Amino acid sequence: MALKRIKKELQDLGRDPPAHCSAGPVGDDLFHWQATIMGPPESPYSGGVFFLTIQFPTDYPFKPPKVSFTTRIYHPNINSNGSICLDILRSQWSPALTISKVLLSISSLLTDPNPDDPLVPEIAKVYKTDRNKYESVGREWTKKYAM
Amino acid sequence: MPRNVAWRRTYSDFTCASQAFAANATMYILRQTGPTGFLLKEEGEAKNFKVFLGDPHSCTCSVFRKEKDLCKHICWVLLKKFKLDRDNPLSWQVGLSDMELDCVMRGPVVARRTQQRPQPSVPRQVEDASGGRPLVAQREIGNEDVCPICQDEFMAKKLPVTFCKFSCGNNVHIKCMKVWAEHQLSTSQDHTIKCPMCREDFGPLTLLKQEQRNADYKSNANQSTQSSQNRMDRHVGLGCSNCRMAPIEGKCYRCCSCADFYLCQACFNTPAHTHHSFQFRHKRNQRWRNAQRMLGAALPDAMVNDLMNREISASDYDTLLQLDNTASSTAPLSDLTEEAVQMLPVERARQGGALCAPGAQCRVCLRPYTAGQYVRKLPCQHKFHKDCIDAWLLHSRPICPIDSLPVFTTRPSSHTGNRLIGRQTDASSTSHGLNTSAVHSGRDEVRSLSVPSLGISSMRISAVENGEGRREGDRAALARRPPRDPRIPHRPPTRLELTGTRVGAEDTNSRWEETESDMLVPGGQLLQQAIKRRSQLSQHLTQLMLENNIQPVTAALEYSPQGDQDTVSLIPLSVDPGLAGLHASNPAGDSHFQFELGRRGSAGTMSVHDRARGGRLATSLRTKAPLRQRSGSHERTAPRSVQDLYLGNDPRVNPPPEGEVTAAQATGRGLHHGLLHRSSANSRKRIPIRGVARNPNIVLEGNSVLDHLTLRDIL
Repeated sequence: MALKRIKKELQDLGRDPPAHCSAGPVGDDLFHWQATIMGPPESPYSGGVFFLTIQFPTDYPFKPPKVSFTTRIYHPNINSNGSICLDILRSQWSPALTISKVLLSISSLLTDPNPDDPLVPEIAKVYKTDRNKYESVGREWTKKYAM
Repeated sequence: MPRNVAWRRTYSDFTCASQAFAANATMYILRQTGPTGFLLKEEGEAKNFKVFLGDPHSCTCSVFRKEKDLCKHICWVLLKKFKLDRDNPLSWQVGLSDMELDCVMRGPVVARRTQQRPQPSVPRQVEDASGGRPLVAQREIGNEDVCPICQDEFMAKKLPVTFCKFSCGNNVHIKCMKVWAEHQLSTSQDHTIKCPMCREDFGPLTLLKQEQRNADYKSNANQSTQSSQNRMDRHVGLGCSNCRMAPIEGKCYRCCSCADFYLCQACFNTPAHTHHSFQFRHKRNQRWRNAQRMLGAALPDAMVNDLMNREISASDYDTLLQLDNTASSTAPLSDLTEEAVQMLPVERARQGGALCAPGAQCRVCLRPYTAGQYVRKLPCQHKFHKDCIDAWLLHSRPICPIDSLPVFTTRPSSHTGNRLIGRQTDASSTSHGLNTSAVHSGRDEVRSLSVPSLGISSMRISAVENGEGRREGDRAALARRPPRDPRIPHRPPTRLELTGTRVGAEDTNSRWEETESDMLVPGGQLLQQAIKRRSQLSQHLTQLMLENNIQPVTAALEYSPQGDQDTVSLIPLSVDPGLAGLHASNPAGDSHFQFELGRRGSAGTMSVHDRARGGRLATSLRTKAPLRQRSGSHERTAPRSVQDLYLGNDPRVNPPPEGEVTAAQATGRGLHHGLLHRSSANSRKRIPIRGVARNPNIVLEGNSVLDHLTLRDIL
């Protein structure tokens, strides 16, 4: 089932690609994908292109895919390893979610960080107390790593 | 409430024109940008327009900007999307207040929906599981709706569906939901199953399992065969993905690459799904073992390699399609008559009955049955909404949508059918001294069923050498041919003699092209040989006719409605001057022949039966010696293995308008030809001719048969 569903998603991505995102398999292994997200315009990440890797479990879609950033990003919910703290990738996963929806969720997480459930508390603190500093550092990192 | 724009009491001419435009326009909503914002695309227009309903309405089209009045886009949203009536004053206002908008958005559409869909009766099991929670109606399944788990379109696969009964009403395949439910139970601590869409409680797993049972429910008529259900070589729950036989009996083949792709033995020996390797097991408790495919791919290996090693272009589409030859593409289109469909039994769903149990559903529309609905039962015991299945049978295919078994109708009463068999048997045994043992075999019960315009759909020639698992295309027969007795050595027919006058008729060119591409499938070789021979014979015969001054006679098989003449055989036709005499003496006086069975007729012909019994060369032709010699020269090139040869006459030959024929013929050693055919005005007539291995000589004579040999018939 997993392979069939992954193929189906790949087909759907080709037919109806989500805004500002792209994804596709790396090489012949359909269980290993690479994705890109363009930094959303109203965020410090605008102009940057962020790469992610997606690893599908063999019992996908019943287990969530492992998604992580390969491009460094200054974000309270994403750590230096690229791990993403997003509930739909863990406890709130549902087989009704697709890679396209997951990428859109990550894109909206970039626009609206969730400092109340941080993965990197320092960035969350900066985000809460000094929004200007957060934005300038974010832009700086984007320029440095994602452009 | 203050309004930004004044209320209009009457509509302007401009609005009237816009509404008329909107009524005839085809527009698509590309995106809904908000509850009242729409991105529209009109068919044939390059630009998209944004429409916002509000106080006032707005649109990005030039007409609206110039006129500041309702353009056709705004009108379209109001009239088509929100189904406002043109008489409703709200439909011609330049702007609508929030309250009016609310009224527009909720009003008629919602009212109509609730009116359309009466609340289905709630089965008791669902009530038990709900624990007093309010139930939600099932969402309509559109053509593009997909299962949230496997993302397959519901309407494409028609697998049974269930829905979130307590919260969102979204549909999901029962099978997918069961996997998700089991996964959740194994991983989460709280033992609730969440809906994949709304994450609310989906109900207990037991209910889901019950729904699955009900969805697969066929009929309790099968309960007497409980013991056969327990047979280990019945792969319960696994259906053949090619011929749709369910469950698979005997050897079951599983694709190593695709999930849920299984083949039965017969389909495994066809070029179906050849691009993946297979595993098989004979019994359910055995391990899966690797299966060697006897047949090559549907395409020759060279071609497959070629395709694999280059860019595929649009012109390769047909070739690629051949990679995946499925039986569905060869199944006949429906030509069942309305009255034949009406003969199938109908029942009415009762409140609390099995049909109204949770999960029981019509596999055509994927909707549950509600009390009072009429449900039609097919001979394979599958049930469907009467309207759904009638439309399918009449307009799509004459087969069951689930297992693809042909839908034949029984005779008006089984009594008639029995009588018919008896008569047939009598006729064949008394008048022709036939061996009737074959007539009593299981297969012959089928003769009591009339197959309206169906014929025997796909007889195959199989080149497999192992002598078992012969392709039984004869699905109409339902009964499978018993396996060949291993003690009888497999002796392929060594001669194939084809004679006839109008062989190689003028329409052969198109057939030749057809066969070029079909050389790839088994049987193609035989066909090519047959066609080659036909053309050679045609030349000989033309020459012969010129020499003897014989006019070619257009012959068609005639079905005689009289009771004592319900047998048919093929005899040499017009090359024989003696037969021409028979033709002339035909009492009907028309251009049809009457065929005789199994004895020397007045014209001195010899039938298939006599030849088979005599086991010697046919001497039926009383034509000049040259033909014998010439045709003899082709006999040497007869194909090695002909197991089933199926010839049909051309559908373009107009069948007799009335009458029914029961052609039952068996030779002394089991060669039998059977066809029971109910004719209708546009029906397709077929005469199967089957050579069984024990008869070393298949002699096919007669022009019309050979003349209309089609590839489809052979396959």
